Amino acid sequence: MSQIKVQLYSTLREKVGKGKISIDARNIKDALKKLENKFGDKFREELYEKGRIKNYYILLLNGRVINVKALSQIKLSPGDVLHIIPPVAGG
Amino acid sequence: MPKIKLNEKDMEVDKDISIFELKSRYKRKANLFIYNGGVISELQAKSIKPKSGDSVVLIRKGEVPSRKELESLMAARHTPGVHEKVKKATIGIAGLGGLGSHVAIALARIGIGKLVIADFDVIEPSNLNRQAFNVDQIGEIKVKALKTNIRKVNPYVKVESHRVRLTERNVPKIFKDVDILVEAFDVPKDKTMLVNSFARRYPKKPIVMASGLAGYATSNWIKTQKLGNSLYVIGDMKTGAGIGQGLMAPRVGIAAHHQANLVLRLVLGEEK
Repeated sequence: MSQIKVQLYSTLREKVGKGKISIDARNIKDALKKLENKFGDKFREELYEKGRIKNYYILLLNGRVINVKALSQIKLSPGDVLHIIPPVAGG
Repeated sequence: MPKIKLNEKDMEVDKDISIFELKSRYKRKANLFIYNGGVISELQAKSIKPKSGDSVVLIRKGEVPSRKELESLMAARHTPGVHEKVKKATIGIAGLGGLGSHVAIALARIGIGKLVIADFDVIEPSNLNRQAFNVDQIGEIKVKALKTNIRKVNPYVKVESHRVRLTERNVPKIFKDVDILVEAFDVPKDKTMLVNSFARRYPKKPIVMASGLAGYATSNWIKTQKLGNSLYVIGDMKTGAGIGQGLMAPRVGIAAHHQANLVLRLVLGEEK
């Protein structure tokens, strides 16, 4: 179990009312589960659709884009930083 | 002998030579005289003899400057050494809407070496409230129309255009030679597809993304942030396009120019 920092952006941050959180987790899937437990339905409804992360979310671990299909395989180390970014429409 | 700037070049000219005589010597076909920033008549050009520190520009109306002339004008206008780096850069632009079309024009204006532009769409009347196209281009293919507009700004920028719907599969191939990729899509899932696809294949190449630029809220909310090792996000990250928050030229243009300026800073090594 590692303590990591999580940064939430945009609509996700507005929904849960917080932008920076520290949590203990083993891997990314576990980290998302902890966030779900902490923030409940607001977090779940914003991030997931039919049990999957919505297709427009960008996840970065320590600045690198991560594959959302292999979340349980991405192990965490103390001090890791996870960014969860939902881009908004417009261009 | 007076040291003047003639067509942005420093040079020494004969004492008591008139501006009109300079034209006969350096640009015979010129028919417009600009002296220290102001237009003067032919009669005035015959009587004014430039002194040290003066600036004289001789122009032939409607003439397209040669590559060499345009480059020397840019080199003189930009900070020394800047143009050398800018003209070697290759920049990819994914999507040619309000963001992409303006990023392309801004980079062409500063003499970027090469642009790789991609979009599948045609110009619709509703695009004109924010995109760098004209009324007489409605119905034209965007990549083709933008190439025309870029040529009108700077005919010496190389443009590689792709009329294609960008997908996870073709993104790495189309943008394989770019130094920096600009994300300029409208729909969030397309933005994410581009970032994921490009970053997985080229993790060290910068991606300049935009998010949150709709409506007419204060422009001071729009900022440039580095979120990943190579991912930059521009915008207020909250104002999405929707009912009551349309996409309009001012805010979209501000975000586009943030993107273009970040590209420039990355090219110049000002951002790590």
